[in-house]
Amino acid sequence: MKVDKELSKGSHELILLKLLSRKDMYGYQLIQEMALLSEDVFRMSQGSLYPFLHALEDRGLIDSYAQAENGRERRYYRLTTAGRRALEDKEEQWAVYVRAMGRILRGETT
Amino acid sequence: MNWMGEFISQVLVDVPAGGYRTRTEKELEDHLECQRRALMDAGRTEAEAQAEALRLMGEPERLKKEYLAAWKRSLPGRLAALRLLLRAWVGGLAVMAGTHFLIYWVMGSVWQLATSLPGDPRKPWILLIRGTIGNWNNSLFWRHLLPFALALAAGALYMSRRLQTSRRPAVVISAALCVHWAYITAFNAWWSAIDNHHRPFWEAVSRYLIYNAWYHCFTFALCILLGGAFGRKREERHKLA
Repeated sequence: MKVDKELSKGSHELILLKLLSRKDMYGYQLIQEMALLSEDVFRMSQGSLYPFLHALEDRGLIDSYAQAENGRERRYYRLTTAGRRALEDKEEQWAVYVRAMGRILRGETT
Repeated sequence: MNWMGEFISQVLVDVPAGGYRTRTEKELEDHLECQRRALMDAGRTEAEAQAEALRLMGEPERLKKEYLAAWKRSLPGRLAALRLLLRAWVGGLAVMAGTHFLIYWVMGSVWQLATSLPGDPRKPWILLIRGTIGNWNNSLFWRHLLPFALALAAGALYMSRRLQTSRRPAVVISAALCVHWAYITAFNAWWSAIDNHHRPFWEAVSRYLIYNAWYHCFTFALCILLGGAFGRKREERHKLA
């Protein structure tokens, strides 16, 4: 089942931070992991990934380093301390959001 | 240019050369290459894999705006903006001076072709001087206004493409054109004084400025007009982005 793009757009930051909390990754790897773990539910335009990563880098949530691989320079991204804090915060927010949405969808009353 | 070069140039067309552009070019190259290999491993032909890898990247026109915005965000504040402004100014002044001399050189070559005698030397510096002071029926239009206007337009175009982050591109471009106007006018006044060596220096300069007052006013107004026009064009592109 396809999920509305607008719905998944807001979760890209959380997903990327979560993936980078596991290990350092490069752009293509992040796209593949995102598609694999979400069973293709979360997909982003591949070209849009880099401006998104650069924005996270400008905000100090991630940083990057270049590494030569197969005669080609590859840039890896890793989570910073500020990024780790932001991830914890976003995970909490997400849990609150999911609980609230679940209650509404199930029609629960307080 | 390889198969991905055109796409990368297209999405980074508004990002000026420098650290951010180089780094992003390498990232996009690596990404497209990984994608191409994965598609070929999945059974696609080389051509199919290349086309699909480019398609998966997304719409270049939309990406162009995203990369321009990302580059702007990557600039570290006012210092970088000032550096870019100075670079645009120095580059713009060099373009104007170069265009000015090139046009004079072309004019000199044309004049030389029209009037040359057998065995007449055609050294570049002679052509340049003839273009500058050649007898064009003393027409200000041919001798000065045409090269001036073309040089200003070239400089304004150059700067409007480089002033990506300027908030007031019209003011910045007009100011640079006025600087060019000032040094060309000063040069012409000085040259006129040298040419009229029988008069005292300042008298010759004053006569040059007064007798050609309409020309100086017109070219000054041209600087403001061109600066405004090219600056507004840049502002409109900013708004669209």
